[in-house]
Amino acid sequence: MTKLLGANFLRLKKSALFWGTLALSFGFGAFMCVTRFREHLDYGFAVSLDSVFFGFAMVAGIVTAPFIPLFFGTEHSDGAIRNKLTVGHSRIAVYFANLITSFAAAVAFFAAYLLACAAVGIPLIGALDLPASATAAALGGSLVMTAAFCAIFTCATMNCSKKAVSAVVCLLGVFTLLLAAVYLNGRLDAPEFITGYEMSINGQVVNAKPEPNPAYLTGMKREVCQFLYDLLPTGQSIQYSNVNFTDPVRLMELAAAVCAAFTGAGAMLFWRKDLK
Amino acid sequence: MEYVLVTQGLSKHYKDFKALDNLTMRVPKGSIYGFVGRNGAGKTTLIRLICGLQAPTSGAYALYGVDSAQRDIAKVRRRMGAVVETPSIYLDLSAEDNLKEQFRVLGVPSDGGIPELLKLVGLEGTGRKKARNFSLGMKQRLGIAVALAGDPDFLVLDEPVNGLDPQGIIDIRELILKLNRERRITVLISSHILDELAKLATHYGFIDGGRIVKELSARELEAACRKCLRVEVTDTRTLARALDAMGVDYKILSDGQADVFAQVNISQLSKALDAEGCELLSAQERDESLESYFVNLVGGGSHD
Repeated sequence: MTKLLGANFLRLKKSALFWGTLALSFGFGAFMCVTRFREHLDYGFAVSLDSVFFGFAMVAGIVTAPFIPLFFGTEHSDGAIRNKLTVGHSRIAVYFANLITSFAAAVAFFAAYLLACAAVGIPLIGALDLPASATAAALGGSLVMTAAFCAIFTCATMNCSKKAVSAVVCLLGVFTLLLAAVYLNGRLDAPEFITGYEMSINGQVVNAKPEPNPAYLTGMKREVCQFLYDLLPTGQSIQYSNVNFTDPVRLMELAAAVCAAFTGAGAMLFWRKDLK
Repeated sequence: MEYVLVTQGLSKHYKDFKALDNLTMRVPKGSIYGFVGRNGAGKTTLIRLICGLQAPTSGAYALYGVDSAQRDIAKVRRRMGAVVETPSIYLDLSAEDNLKEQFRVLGVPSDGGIPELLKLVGLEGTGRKKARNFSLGMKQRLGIAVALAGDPDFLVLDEPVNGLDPQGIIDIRELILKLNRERRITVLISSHILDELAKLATHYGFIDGGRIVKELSARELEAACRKCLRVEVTDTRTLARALDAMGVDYKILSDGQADVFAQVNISQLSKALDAEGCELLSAQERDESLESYFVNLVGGGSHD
């Protein structure tokens, strides 16, 4: 597999798509820092690097969803995958080499974003306020979540012979998962009680007595929603980007489970796939 | 005789369609094996199976004596190179970068062999030009160069001259002959252009409906493609009597036409026919080509 990894990294080095995405990630990091700094100047908000430093977690799926099918789908569309198999490399080795390369590329995009935050954000809005342990947990968790995204998109790319189709499937997939995560977040964030307004006799508007919110989830429903929100890589994206997570170990375990499930299924399907 | 590839009852089914049906063939070492068949006969399917791109439904094949079910088949595949259907190249890389990529895949420690390989296929002057901007012939030659990167003993080429201009066809033919003669590379080549194949092949395998219908050497094919004299006469019954009297092998085609499989004295034949009131209208020497042999073998039915 080292030979395959060597070949993949050589192609990555020559890929305009890779360098373009890397520049885009750096640019996005710089843009986020400048935007926060302008908010501070225009409205006087107190801003901290914490609010932008993990912003890449939010877009990790959106960045890798087109990159992985476009980069590795070329092997199917140009037929170059045949050159690897014909000379005796196993399908499992080809699959894992591509998964590792896609993860390495995603980590490079993340690093470019963090570099921009350090280079532009620290001089403008100062250093991180978060404690080192929380920073490490968010960084580690974001990396495992990124691996889960890579596993999902590698599974789709390696088992679809058409590059354009796999790119569309991955993009549609990530936006569907993102919508699902936003919906679950909304349900979980619903307040337990709602307070209405009442008009008093003398015409004044006063707060009504708090009443239980019918949209508030309880019991099993809440547990299932929370589990799905934690399981979805897009749900984890929202939690890491807002630095709003309670159990990073559980999130990492769930992301690792998603990674293992998609890699197992993807490798099995690819192993049995008839290639042209 | 030593064989590079031997298939035994190889079958490949796609749902109800039998792409290969109990196919058995043998490719001798050092040969240029012409694989002939109409569209959909199963040529590309066989090539996909032996390249490990697909698994057979039943049956087996052996490469250099190693059975396809054995683990060592992966090691043996290192000795082969292939161009299946279209050249397998990265279009966004130059010729040199495509070869560097394949050298990495193979684990070749140095890129030193790349200029020689590019020269061999006539792509030494392409520089940084991306494969996307190559002509079809150049892409085909780059595909062959990539297949040759591992210094293979067995080269599999699927329709290598499809869509090429006359010069492109000549270039590929000369390259294949050079590889076979100078490097002793065994070549399995499938092609629709039978006249072109006839200029290369030392052995033939004719495939139809997923089965090999005939396997023979070029020498055997030459003997089978008998020369004949096609004659037109006013009455073939009279002609038959005259030819019987001369002890000559013949075949009546119609009331006025027949093929004579011997060198006959035209004056003598004309005189014999004239004596019985039959006229000899014309006589033309004919050579049965690979094409007519193929048509006779598999029938001239409709193509897919």
